[in-house]
Amino acid sequence: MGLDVRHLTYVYNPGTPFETKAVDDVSFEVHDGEFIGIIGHTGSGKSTLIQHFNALIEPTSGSVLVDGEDIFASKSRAALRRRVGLVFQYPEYQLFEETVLKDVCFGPKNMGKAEGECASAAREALRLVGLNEDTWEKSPFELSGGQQRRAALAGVLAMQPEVLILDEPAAGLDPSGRKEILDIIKRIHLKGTTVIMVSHSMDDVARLCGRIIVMEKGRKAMDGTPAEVFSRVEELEKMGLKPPSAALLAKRLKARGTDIDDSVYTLAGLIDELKNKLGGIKQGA
Amino acid sequence: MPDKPFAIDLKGVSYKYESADSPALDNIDLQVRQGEMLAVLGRNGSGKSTLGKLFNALYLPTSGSACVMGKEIKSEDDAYSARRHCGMVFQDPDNQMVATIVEEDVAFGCENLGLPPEEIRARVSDALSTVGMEQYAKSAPHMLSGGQKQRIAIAGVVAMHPDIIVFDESTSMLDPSGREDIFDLAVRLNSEGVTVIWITHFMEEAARCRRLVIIDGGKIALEGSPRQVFSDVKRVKQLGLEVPDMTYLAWSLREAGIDISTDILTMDEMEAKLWDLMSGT
Repeated sequence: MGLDVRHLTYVYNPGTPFETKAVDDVSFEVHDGEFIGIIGHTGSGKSTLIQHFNALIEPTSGSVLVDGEDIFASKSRAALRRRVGLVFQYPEYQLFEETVLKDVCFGPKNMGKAEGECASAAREALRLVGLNEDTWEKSPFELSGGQQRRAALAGVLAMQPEVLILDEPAAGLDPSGRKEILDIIKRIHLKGTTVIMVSHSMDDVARLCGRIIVMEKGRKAMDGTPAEVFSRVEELEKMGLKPPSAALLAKRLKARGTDIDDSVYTLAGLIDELKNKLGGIKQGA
Repeated sequence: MPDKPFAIDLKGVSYKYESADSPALDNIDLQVRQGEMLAVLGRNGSGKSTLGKLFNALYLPTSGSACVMGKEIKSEDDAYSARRHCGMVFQDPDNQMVATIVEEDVAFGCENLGLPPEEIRARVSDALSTVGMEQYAKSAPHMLSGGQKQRIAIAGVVAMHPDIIVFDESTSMLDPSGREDIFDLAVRLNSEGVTVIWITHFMEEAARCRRLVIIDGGKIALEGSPRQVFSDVKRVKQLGLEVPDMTYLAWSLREAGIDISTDILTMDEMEAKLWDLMSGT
């Protein structure tokens, strides 16, 4: 399922001294099956932007079309927003039920699904995020931080959204927790879900996403493949963003006059490129 | 020059939560000298936050001895002195705000020390200028960014003039620029003489501390300079952690038979080394 974002503008506190244009005339299309990363400095409008995608907030002007239908048009709103799942920052703060399984059932239950259907959707979602059966009857508050994050993600997945939107899904986790959650998101995408992920980590976005949108001061500043976006290192740095270390190092070596391919932007890509270039220089040679 | 005395001296310290079967910390020996900046790493549940909470007597050792600035913490009665010496900054800036105006928030700790009002006023204004937030003295904390709130929390600790500050994942909820701000601030406080314990998940931060320890299963698993510790890439990975990007790059190239040492930490070092290798061909 695709999204069509048209001239979206959102103004906070209009008509007060605190008036700010958080999103400023942003347009782009999301195609079915894409994995898009949205990056930008804090306050660039990323989080405000994505909250429009499941009609959580209404734009000051502009629209979001889901399969050609305006998500804010009153009639279809409830049905359309169900097809777009939104995972907030620190979603584990929203866990509340007595057991993990009940918590994950909450979403499908609210959608009016029958009890049996809810439970089977919940079980499938819990398996997808790698939470074993021995955790299902536990209180969510007995789980580790990384497990809680995954349980909260399962709560959204149980509603079987066609588009999954995540705001900083790996924030605050330890390295292995980060890797786990990002691997799960990758798997969900490979199963056919369209994914939009807001992240501060250029390295994660470089590794996972096929397309990157860069936000700056409420506007869409860049939109392209990781190779295109990360080739514009100086511009990114001017926006206060740190390009992936691999891209930066390749650019520096290129500037010194080496013949390195400076279009690499992942650590794995840089390692391959350097192995290629340095293959002849073996230890002790 | 003689070594400085210990700020923290743990001998055979164990700590067990009442509800747990096994100890969270198991026979830890750890000495931190005054003026050091020590990074503490470890996967979730390793015991690193429990360790931090021993330093200012939020927890008392189940066995072994813990001395803070030369004084052993044996009972709740010693907590007061330990907390005057050792301040803590936590993860979530929102959980650390107690007042509705920044300067009142910063004054909270000093008020509890029972200092005279004019002394508190002077300390609060000094602390706010130390963290670069003096222009926000009259602001409401909820109008500030995460990084700014964290600076206010630090000012509240600084105003109490501690010898030691424990930062327990104080940058984990901040964006990259906020993170750098807070880390730089800790480095500056350290250069002014404060002993800093920096608990973190970010390897790049740990790489910038002079010494680090990795805790795993309640024990010290690795200890040394960042260069020593991170160069053992396999072991660090076994402990559920990553090494800095540049160290990982060096290790991968070395595994491929390229003549490069794994004790590289920064991009500058890596750039210089690669330039050597590439221009030599």
